[in-house]
Amino acid sequence: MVGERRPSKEELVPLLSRAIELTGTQLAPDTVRAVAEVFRVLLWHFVDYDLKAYFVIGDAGDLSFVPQAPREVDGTVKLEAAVLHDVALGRTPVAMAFLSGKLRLQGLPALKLRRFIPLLQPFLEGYRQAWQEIEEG
Amino acid sequence: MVKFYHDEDADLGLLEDRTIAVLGYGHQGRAQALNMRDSGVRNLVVGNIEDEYRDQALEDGFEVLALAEAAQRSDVIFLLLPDETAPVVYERDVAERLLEGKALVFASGYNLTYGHIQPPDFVDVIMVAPRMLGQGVRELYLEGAGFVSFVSVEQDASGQAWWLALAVAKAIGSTRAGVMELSAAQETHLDLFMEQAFGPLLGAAITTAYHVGVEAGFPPEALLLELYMSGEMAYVFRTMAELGLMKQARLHSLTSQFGGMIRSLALNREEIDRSMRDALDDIFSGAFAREWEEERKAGYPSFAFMQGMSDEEHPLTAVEDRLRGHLRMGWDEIV
Repeated sequence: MVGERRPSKEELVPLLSRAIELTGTQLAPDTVRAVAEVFRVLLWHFVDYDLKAYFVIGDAGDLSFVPQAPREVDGTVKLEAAVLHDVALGRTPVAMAFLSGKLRLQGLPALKLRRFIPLLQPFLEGYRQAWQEIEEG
Repeated sequence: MVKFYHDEDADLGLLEDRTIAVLGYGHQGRAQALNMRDSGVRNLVVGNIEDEYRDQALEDGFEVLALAEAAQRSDVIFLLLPDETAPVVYERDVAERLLEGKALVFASGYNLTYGHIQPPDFVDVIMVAPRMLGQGVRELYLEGAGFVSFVSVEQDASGQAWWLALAVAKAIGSTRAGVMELSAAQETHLDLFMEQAFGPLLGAAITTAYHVGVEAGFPPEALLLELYMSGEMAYVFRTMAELGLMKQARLHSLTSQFGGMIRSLALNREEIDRSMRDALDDIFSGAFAREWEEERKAGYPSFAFMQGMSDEEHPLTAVEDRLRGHLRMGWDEIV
């Protein structure tokens, strides 16, 4: 059962790593290739934990979350871990998170967001599943 | 020098002996067809696929034909279809039915500007682009008022295209207010600029004010009344048009003027400026049009996700609904 608890700072990176692993299994290679044309490294800045993690698309199209940037960052997602958690678990609509400024995309040119968007839904689903695994031990 | 044209500059007689086809009976199609008929245009048919818009056209008393048949039978063909649909309809139903002496009328320059529609050189190509939603085009006509349009001749095969453009503008009721000559490319770039540079900032200003205000403890209903639901903001926009952006400020209290001016001076405009210039670069270069076309060909995956986001229940929507229940503003239903 997925309860009210939110991930701690220590849980967050392993949670994201598992979420992105699950996301990778849902995406077609073509989708990943299209995203990789736009960015390879995306900084996720969780302001409530003052934690930075880097979402990376590897040369082989593999997806990972790592604590250090392997190359120059292409853009930044700035949010609270609590907001990501609530969005992923359907407690906060994605639109609300954007419109209220609690989820911000920085550095990515507007038109390139078109290639980024197809990642969002699978990632949120991967996150939900990964969190459920943690909660169920 | 910018020149405007009015009713007295246009001659409806140019439409008398021609059959007019309005392809697409959506918001603009319906409004323009009804206005033209009420202006005395007689040989008017509607071309539409079998859908609810076709039923509406029949209900409104028009002869409704298949798109290809309407294009075949007519001399002046209005392509009043969505930007993303028009090229498909043009290639399938219109292109091979064009003959010398026929004219194509566009209400948006988008497909001409980006080359999605390339008419043959033996037809007239004109644009009459209302600066008004379809519903407003009809309502203003019925009120006896007008609405502004941008008008252009993109191809003058007959030597009469400009006069035809003015006649069309008069028939739909636009020369009552005045029409201004502007090329299809300029209309397209300007339209996209307003949608992509100004519109998002206006929306962001409203939603940010809402969230910050609610967090500060203002009643959401009061916030929305101040932002747009009382109609005061719409009235202010109207006074901007009637008096001028700067002069209308004098209608506000000194406290309001001082507070607004001092905050305006302190506003960081660098990011706004950069965002607007980025949008313009993508519009002028055609990058936006290419990206949108790719999105269409892919079946609109990102657009569908964003539409889903905007369909999500925002607290603001519930507040609007509650307010409408309380207010007696005499609003007509907008469909």
